Amino acid sequence: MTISDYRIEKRADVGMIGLFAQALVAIALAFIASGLLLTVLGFDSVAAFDALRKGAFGTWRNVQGSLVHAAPLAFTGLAVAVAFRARIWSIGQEGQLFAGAMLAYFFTTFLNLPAIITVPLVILAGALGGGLIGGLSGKLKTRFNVDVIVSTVMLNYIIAYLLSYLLTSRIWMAPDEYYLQTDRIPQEARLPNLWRGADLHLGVALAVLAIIVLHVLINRTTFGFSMRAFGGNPVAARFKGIEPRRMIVIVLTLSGALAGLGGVVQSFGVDFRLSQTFLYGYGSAGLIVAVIAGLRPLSIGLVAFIFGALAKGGLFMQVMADVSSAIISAMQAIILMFFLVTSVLFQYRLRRVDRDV
Amino acid sequence: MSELFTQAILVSMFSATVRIAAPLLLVSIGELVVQRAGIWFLGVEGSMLMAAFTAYFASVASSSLYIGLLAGIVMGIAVHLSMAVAAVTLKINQFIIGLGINLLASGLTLFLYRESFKMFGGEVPTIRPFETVALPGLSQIPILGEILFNQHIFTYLAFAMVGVVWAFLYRTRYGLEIRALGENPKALDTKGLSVSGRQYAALAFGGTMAGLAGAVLVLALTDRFVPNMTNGRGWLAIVIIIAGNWKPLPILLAVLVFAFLEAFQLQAQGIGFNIPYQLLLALPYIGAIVAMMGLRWRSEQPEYLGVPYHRE
Repeated sequence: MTISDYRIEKRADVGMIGLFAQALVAIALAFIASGLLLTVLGFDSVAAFDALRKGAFGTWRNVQGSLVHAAPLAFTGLAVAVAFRARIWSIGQEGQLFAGAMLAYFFTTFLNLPAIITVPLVILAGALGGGLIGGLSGKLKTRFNVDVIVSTVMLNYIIAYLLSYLLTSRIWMAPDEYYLQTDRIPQEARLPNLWRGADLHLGVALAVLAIIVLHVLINRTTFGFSMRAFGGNPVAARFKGIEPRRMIVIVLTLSGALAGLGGVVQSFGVDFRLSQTFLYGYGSAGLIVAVIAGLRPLSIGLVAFIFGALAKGGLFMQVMADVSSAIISAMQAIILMFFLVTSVLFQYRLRRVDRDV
Repeated sequence: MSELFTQAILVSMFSATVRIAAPLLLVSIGELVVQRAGIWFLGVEGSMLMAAFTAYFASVASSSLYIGLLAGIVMGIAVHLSMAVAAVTLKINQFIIGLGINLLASGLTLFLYRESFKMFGGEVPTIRPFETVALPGLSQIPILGEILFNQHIFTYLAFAMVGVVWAFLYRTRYGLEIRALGENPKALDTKGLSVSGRQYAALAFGGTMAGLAGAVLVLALTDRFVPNMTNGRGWLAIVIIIAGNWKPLPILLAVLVFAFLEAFQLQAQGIGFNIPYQLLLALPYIGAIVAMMGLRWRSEQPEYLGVPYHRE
């Protein structure tokens, strides 16, 4: 006779499908939790979430809007993934995002060239601005042994204050401007729309390109292999000829450049101005996107799209259901929390054990 | 005349330094115990913010500062204990869960603040903050009395806690056990002492301190809640611990330096310093990086900081 027993055991690897299911469960739980919160506050949460859905996917225009919102998140998500894959805990994406947009804006204040030259220059400046700040954190680590988390967090604040100074001193602000924001970015520096009448701009295409490039770079190249090896075991990686100092600086520069591109994509594709509030929060949202996507570039594209849809739908929900769109950043964090908790549960599985008696 | 004026400004600047130092000191001392216990908790910023938010709304709802204070502390403990569940019991990556707590706190408090803003009809009520308590006798000492002994009760408590925590960590068996958690948790475990129980306790203490710090911020230093009002103080606490090399007295020193920079910034324009205020506000952060570049002494960083304890 055979008796079946069930035993809980640990899986070796959750796998792609497991990760996907886990993300879906986390998102569903987050909707339930925030739905309860809205109900408690006296909102009709079904109507609110219906407005969210319509705002995100209701029409082709809204889908385009969701994609536009997703683009900077994809960049900051990739920036996080590059650093975390190498197990370098940089949380400087927010500051690097600002730095990229700021350096690009700096060029537009004196460049006076046609769009065909200005736009590529602006994009390069964004990567350069973010990359320099990322590289600075790398140098601070390798040369002076300053903890990466500390230097990246501190630089986030320092850059925020620098922008605040450039605005309040009116170096970047018109004398009669009331709000703390720069002058409008000139037409020839803005990222062009992908086709006539489209809402999608060049930045969205760049984000897709970056996702593919990073996928190939991480998974199919020697550099990507070295990076992952370094993240797995820096000591062993050293024996394989990977120089840790160089790796840290390169990874942080690349990560910073990606975040900087995110800043350019948002400022030069959507806002057409710089302000402290316009770019706020993309760094932290990118971190959530990257973690939920398991630090995989292609998945980052998908999760960024979901988060972009949440942001786009949230604005519509604010108008239609009078729910402050600030709920969206809370929801993003709730999704992360549920994802982390379910990741523990998904590590285990029930296995049937047959015994002969 | 001008000499008197200068003196008045200096007194007010140093008095502000001590005042500003209090919440920073409370949260740093709490986080010190947490980190000594081997838990690398980056969510103090969020914990403090949630506590400030709760303390404010509880005191508005109950019209009692003491209920607000208590509610803030309870919230701080609750947030810290959720970290305990996630990090100690579920062994989730401590770095990411800490960041998650910060993001959740900033999103949730912003959302709830905006909703309450609508509820209150566009203007949130102010509270009457805690008054300062002049210590009899001591506050009469010229200059020093005004700077040190005419402060909030929480300020005295914060400075006293430095001594208490020092004595606890270095002069008691429980303190030794907490330090052992960060250095060699296995040694405790093999002696039959609960690792996770002590880590929960350390986090509960950290939560009390962070909750108190958040409550002080809103109930003693201002008169209302403002979104993201912690403004990086939780992060600064983590920097202060690194700069203070995980030791109570150097941490006190680091807190005073950072508090002085902020106090100086508040006064600088009044004295006619023509430096952009953003530079002064950024100084603590620049200073933190520079301070860390100069660190040459032996690091006291707990060996097992951030490493979840697994029994083999």
